[in-house]
Amino acid sequence: MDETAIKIDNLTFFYNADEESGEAPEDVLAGVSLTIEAGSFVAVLGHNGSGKSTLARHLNALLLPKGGSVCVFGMDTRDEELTLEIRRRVGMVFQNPDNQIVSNVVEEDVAFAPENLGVPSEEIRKRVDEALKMVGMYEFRDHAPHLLSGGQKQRVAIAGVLAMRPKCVVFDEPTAMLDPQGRRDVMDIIEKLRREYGSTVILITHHMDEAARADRVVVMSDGRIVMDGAPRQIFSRVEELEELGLAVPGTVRLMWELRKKGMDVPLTALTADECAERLAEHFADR
Amino acid sequence: MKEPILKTEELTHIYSPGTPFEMTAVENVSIEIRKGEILGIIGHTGSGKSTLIQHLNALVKPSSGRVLLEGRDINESKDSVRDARAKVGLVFQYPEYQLFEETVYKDIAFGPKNMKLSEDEIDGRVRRAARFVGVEEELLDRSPFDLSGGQKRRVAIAGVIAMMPEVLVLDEPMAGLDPQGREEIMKNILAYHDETGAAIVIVTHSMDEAASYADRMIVLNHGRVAMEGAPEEVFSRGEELRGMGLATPVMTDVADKLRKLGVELPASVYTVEQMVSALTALERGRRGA
Amino acid sequence: MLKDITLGQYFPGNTVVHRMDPRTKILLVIIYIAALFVAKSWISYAVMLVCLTAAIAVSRINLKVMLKGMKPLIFIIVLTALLNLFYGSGEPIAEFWIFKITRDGITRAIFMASRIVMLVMGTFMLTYTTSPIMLTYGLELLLGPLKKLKVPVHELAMVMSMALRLIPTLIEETDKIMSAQKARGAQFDTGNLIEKAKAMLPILVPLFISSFRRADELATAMEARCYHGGEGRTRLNVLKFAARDYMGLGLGLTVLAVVIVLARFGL
Repeated sequence: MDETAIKIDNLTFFYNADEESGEAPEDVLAGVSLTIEAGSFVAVLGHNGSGKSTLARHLNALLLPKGGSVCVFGMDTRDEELTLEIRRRVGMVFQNPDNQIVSNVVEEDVAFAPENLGVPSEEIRKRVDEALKMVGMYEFRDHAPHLLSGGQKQRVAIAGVLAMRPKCVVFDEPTAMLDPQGRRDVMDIIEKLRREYGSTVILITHHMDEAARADRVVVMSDGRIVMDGAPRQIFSRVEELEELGLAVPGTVRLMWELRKKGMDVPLTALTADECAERLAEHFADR
Repeated sequence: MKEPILKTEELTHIYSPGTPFEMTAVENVSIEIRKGEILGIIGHTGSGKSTLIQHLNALVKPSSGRVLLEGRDINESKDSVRDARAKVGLVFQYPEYQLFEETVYKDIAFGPKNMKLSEDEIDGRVRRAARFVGVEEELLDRSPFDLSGGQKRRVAIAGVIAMMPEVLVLDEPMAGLDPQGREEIMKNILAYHDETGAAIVIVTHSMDEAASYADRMIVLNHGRVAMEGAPEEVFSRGEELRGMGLATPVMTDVADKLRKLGVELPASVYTVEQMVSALTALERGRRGA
Repeated sequence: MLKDITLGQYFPGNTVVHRMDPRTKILLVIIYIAALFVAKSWISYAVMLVCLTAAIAVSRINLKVMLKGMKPLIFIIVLTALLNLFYGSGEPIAEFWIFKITRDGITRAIFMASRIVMLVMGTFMLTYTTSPIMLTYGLELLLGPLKKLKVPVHELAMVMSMALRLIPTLIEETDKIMSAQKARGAQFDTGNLIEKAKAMLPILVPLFISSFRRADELATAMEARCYHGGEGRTRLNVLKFAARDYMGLGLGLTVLAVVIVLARFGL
């Protein structure tokens, strides 16, 4: 697949300073360039305030560039005529599940986006059912969302985005407020989304183990991209990541510590299984 | 063994009894919190942990059973309730959403003021609490709403620390923060523990975090105590934990897998540090042989 | 606890009453209220009561839940009954100080009290059996003709459904903030009125701030899901009058007619 999903060119952005202080506004994004292939899974890492969420909001025209440009499936986000089309193509799931559910009934919430898009009723029904089945919340279709758990609410929110049939879904720290079960469920849905729909996925996170599952990891700091590469490559730069206020996955940290003690083990192991296997090989040698 | 400061005896709590919405949140829970320990309470959403901790300072009254603070029932009288609120500090999830005063100083002073302490005493406590959480003096006159997320969280925790509780209970104190923010908050809490000898209770669903600081752990499931003991005892029951919707620490997973692959490891390996020393010992043995 | 409030709550179900078009139910409640105000005699009240009881029975709403919902209104009901009791005309049956109780007063007190109780129970039936979304949708359609007069009907309906959506969340939030401030030794039930009002600040300030934050995030999420006003919007569930709606409306109008006729004959 070589279609370009997103092309960001030298993007700069700042929030307008309030009049009283008279201070010059500070750049939240200071010249970001990034191209994302359709169908890929990109994780964006960065500490709080690194600009990663601001970047995310440019991808579906919630924010517009102050400098540079953002093109989504060939559409420039500054073209107001295209705003709806862009938002339909690029769905967005936010951090707080409570603050993105608009209805008191699960299925009516999932229907919200297609309703806005003027999709005919029978077609909405089909999409709602499909989206709810996809996230495993079909049995809850007539429940009240505020009585669901955080993880379940987040799945409903994802279904609400999928009902638009987007080509690309941006997840903005979708698991930050969830318990381990909720986190697992959301990550499983992301995998399923890629496997079954071939969707482009952009995941904003500071959970390293989640980022490790992506094809590509982009690290941001102070409004700039400071690292960009395959997870294995990125996580081998342990010291640099720590300087940026980021941790590495526990398994990588272990390998790194062992190497410092003079053991000859590979640096990157992204899962517990992989880590154990590499270590067992090491001890089985000779 | 250290003596207990706070105990629950066969605590049961039922919400909306006698209605279609009746729900037993906590059932027959007897636990103790010992002087100066760090206790981790673990459970998935809906396991009853939030209800349980709100009993510890009489915010919620038991449907049956008792809560004893230094041997005295905290729900006995108005005085005992007030005493429990002062001695058992409770920091809720996302505490930064409860800030309300014009300045950081006033917000931290809210608790001590309610305790009717003298002006001097209040001033001393506010400054001390601010120091514990690393909030600098010049921030005290700022509005809490101008601070960053991590700073707000620390100010909110200082608001409880300023009451100088003997038991500090924190519900998911690190939720939603980035790795650096998490580390800082944990350091603040440990500083309070080390300097005052207060007991710390941390409610969490992150096993990796619990593994790194807890002396003892209690696992709740469906409103009951499912496991209790030292971290290595609890983590040795990985399958059961996963069955309850909880995650085991990554190092436990690695250790389990290594044992399956024939590498011999001591039983209590659940942090990176422990794993490093276990493996380097193994390496030395191998080289020596 | 605040969570226990049942006023205006929706109880999901699948009875005829639940499935009825919200527009029908809104119209029926209006007809019902009109009939209540026309009704003057025991017979008319009995007719109305039979209708109400039948509706409650068919909808399988727990009578206990409904009576519990009346709790906050007891004061108003008792006050109305008392006022009517003491202001009747005719021969007094009992008298003390400046009050006198007459046969007419007793009748009026009972009438007024039953009128309020039946009025409230009737409107409860609407909210208990209709999801808030359906209710606002029904209102939006009924008020549709006002769009020609430049009344922002869609916007008003959206505001209403957003409010209904946020109420449970805000109640939960208030509970949480109250507990958190109590944990810091705050007391809400002591002192004089001014002190009590002051004690509310630690709850109200965070509540306002978080409501604004929620509203802002919700608005962003709605935009991200292509919300752009009512223009060109379609619906998952399209409202269509079914046989049960015509039957219901017919029945309602008949009862209203009967009550009017009875009133004509002074009954």
